[in-house]
Amino acid sequence: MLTLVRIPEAERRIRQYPHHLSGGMRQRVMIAMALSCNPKVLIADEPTTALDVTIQAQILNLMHELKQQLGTAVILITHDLGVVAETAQRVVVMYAGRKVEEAPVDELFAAPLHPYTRGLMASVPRLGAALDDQRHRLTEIPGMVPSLRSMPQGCSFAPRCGFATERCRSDFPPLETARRGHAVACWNWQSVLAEGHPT
Amino acid sequence: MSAAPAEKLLEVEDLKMHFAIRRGVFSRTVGQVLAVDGISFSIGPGETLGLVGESGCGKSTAGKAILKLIEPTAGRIRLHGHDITDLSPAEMRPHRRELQVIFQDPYSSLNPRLSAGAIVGEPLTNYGIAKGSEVEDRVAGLFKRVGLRPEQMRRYPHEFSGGQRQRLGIARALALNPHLIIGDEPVSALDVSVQAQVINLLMDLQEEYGLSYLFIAHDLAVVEHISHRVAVMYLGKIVELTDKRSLFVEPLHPYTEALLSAVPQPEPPKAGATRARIILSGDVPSPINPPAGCRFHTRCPYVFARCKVEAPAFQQVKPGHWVACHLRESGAGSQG
Repeated sequence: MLTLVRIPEAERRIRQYPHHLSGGMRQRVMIAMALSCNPKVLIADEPTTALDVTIQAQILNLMHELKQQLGTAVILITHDLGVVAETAQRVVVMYAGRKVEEAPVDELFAAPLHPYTRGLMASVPRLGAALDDQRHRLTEIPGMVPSLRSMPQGCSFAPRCGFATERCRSDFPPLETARRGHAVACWNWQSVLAEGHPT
Repeated sequence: MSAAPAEKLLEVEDLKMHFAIRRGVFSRTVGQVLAVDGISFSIGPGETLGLVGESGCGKSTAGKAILKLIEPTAGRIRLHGHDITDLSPAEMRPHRRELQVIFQDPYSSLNPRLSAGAIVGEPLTNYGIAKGSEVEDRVAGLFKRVGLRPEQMRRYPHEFSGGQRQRLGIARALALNPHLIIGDEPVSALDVSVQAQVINLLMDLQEEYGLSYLFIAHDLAVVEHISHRVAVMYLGKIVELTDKRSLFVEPLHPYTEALLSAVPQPEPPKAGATRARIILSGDVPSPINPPAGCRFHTRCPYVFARCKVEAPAFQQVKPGHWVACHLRESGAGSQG
């Protein structure tokens, strides 16, 4: 198993304890443990968040190869849109305990329909986007995520949303299929779409 | 814009920070951690210098040594041309006003027993700048400036969210009208949507007060966004230093190149177009016994014999562009 996850000198490593291993190596051991019973589904909860970018690249690459090789389905839980864009085929966006959008990855990044998804995409600085001498402002999502104990009535994103209307503040929008394979929970997704791409 | 600033607010010259490893009954020194091993740079007025690198490369230690929270082993630190390297804490006091810090973790860097108003007002009373109700007025002004409501002055740190606590840290750092703020991963602990708010605030404050920042971070996209120039650290040394455009468009050090290519981009690759990604093998070696020669040679895709024995000098290869790599040394040709 350790050789499968590309741990160098697996013969020697097998006798070592976790504190002997680096973060990247520990994550490889975790993947080996998770795969040891030939699972059909692997749930990876922020598997690279604690790792440095060069090590993150190694682990993402490894997960991709193993998925091809073993045919395991992967649920990748992450906050990093970059990781999503590079590893997933389909994406579910959650906000305050609910699914607010679901789409194939290309569709989601090309035409995000939920105001929260758009806000997320616009608030992350992109490599290579601020190279002129101009000052750029990042788009902010005002306010913060509501406490799960005192959720607002209606749509939970309404207090932070630029598109919010009366209806949003009273009724929670159901998840509806807006386009082929693309579901969204927003009363106003059509006006969101009409506004064009956020970036 | 691209070259080093003509006027220098902070100059750091060959700064070293070594920690002794002690063992046994007599605490014999058995080794040295070369956390920061000879770094030099300068920051001009109103400029942001980004300092990037992976965990353990010594970027935070460098920040602490410049603040003199720890005594540097060697090197010189000059603030406004005054050498502050060997000053005692008492002699340092007038210079402290100029040099403030914002920490990464807004949960542990604020005193939980003080009210938010007292935390922000403490430097004012400490330096005898304001007394009594004047303190309160000033603090209220600072609260407004960083986007907090003055009514929140009576609250305690635990009543604030992460983003608001970071605003408190910024307000406290601003209280003494400093010229330079050292931010040690100031937005890394925040959610992305809140991170954008704090980055915008820092940039607005810079424009308003002409502040300089030393922005220490590991997130390259954030550093590109906020910095004018960027220094890349690897295992205690700066390997490349230049204006952000040169660094992100044509990086000259193989480590910078690999670091940039490792960042996942928040947009799916276009059909057919595959991004050539450089995946470095192995881990960052330990700073206790760093590799001989160039410290990056164990992971470098272009390594050759000379790299293993001789450390490359940190030299200017183009106006305003410094790099430490044998491939880029003058005379090494233009194969790059």
